[in-house]
Amino acid sequence: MPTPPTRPRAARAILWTGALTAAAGAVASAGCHPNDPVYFPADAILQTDGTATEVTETVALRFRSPSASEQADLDKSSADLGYAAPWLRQDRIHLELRYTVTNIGDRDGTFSLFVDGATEFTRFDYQAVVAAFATGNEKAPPVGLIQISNPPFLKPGQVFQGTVREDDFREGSLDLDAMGRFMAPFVSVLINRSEVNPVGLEMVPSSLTPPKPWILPALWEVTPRFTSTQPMTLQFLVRVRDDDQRLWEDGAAELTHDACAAQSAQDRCLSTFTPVVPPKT
Amino acid sequence: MAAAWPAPVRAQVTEAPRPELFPDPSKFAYGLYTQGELGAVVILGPAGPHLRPGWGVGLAVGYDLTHWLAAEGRAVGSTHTTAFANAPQDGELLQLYQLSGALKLSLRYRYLAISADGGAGMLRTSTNVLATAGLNQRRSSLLFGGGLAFDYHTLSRHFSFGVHASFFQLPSLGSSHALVSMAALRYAF
Repeated sequence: MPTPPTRPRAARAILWTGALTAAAGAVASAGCHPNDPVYFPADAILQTDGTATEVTETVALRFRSPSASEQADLDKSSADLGYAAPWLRQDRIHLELRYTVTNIGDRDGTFSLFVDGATEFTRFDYQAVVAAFATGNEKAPPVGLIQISNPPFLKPGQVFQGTVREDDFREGSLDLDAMGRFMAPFVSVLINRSEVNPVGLEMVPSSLTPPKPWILPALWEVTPRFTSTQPMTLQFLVRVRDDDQRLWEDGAAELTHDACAAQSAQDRCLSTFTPVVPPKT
Repeated sequence: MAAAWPAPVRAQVTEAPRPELFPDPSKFAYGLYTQGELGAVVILGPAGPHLRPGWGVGLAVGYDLTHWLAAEGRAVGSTHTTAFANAPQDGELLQLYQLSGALKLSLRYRYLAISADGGAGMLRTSTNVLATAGLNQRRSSLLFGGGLAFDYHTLSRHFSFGVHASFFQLPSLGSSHALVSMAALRYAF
């Protein structure tokens, strides 16, 4: 009677070794997955005095510059698109802002929080906006690239935690690029959500005939503007997912993010950009 | 004629035979083995209040140098949620990856084995969220410690299962500790 076939020991060992190698590879790749976010805290806690005075803090992210071949690809893309293709693409660099507001006053109060920023092409500088309106003896409207809607009233000691999501930052990038490079009117794009009301986006590449792809640049600079009706504090953290591993640093504490200009000429912070200034009325 | 034939020899039983040990651990498979683990990882010490306990999976590969001594490499991944009251770091997901090597001493009797191991390795955090709160300076750090295991061997030559608890010192994570408790399934080739 023939003996039943048995799986040879060597084959079994190979099978197990393969499975183990795959598992070890999965563990190893999980340890350095590009989807892992990097966090950049503000250098200080922002504190208001309960008057209308705004306090701001800028977190500037640093990215590596393109290599020669990457620059050649970028130039080719720009030629194909008919406008400058961004090195830092919004669909590859995803930002989120997590914040905590604490009422340290002795009465109920509320706050307002705007988030401004800059792409590699354009910066939204609210002080420049205020100055531009002032030349026409007008008061600048309270706008920002991103605005926190309906902030709650906080009791004394109460804490509010919130998130400015990745899709909010996408809208901010879109508005800034539309204003900075494609002649979108200043206020209308800021106060309208583009997927709900695309007013002002008539000149952007995707609105042309025939339409072209509109590659949005990512914000590399994030500036919250905070004010409140009672003394309050704001703590925030910028969370970055970098699909292409272009961040200069991994967010470790030994690599500070606030010394852009002190770093080498490779530093993307040294890019020039044009501030957004509203048209004079 | 009688001198040509040797005298007959007869075996004599002088004591009762020892009872056969069942199962006999020497008949189990020894040598290369792998072990899959599933359990929990708890961080204790300064970082403990800021990392909630998380579930973890582990994989160990080892070799039995003798029936009582083995060398083992081990990888454990666990996922945690951060806890920073009233701070923006609160509620973020964080994974811990441990990679370590250890020497393991085992005492076996029938189905059962009790083991003690000690070793060292590396710990890596998936993000820098702890660094933003000042709890660590680097995402990779040293770990060292030891553990105890209790195994039950099935009647198969190859399979056993048990529980394994380890305690690691994490000097670069605010001098915290990790308590790793796992249920394990082991296969020896």
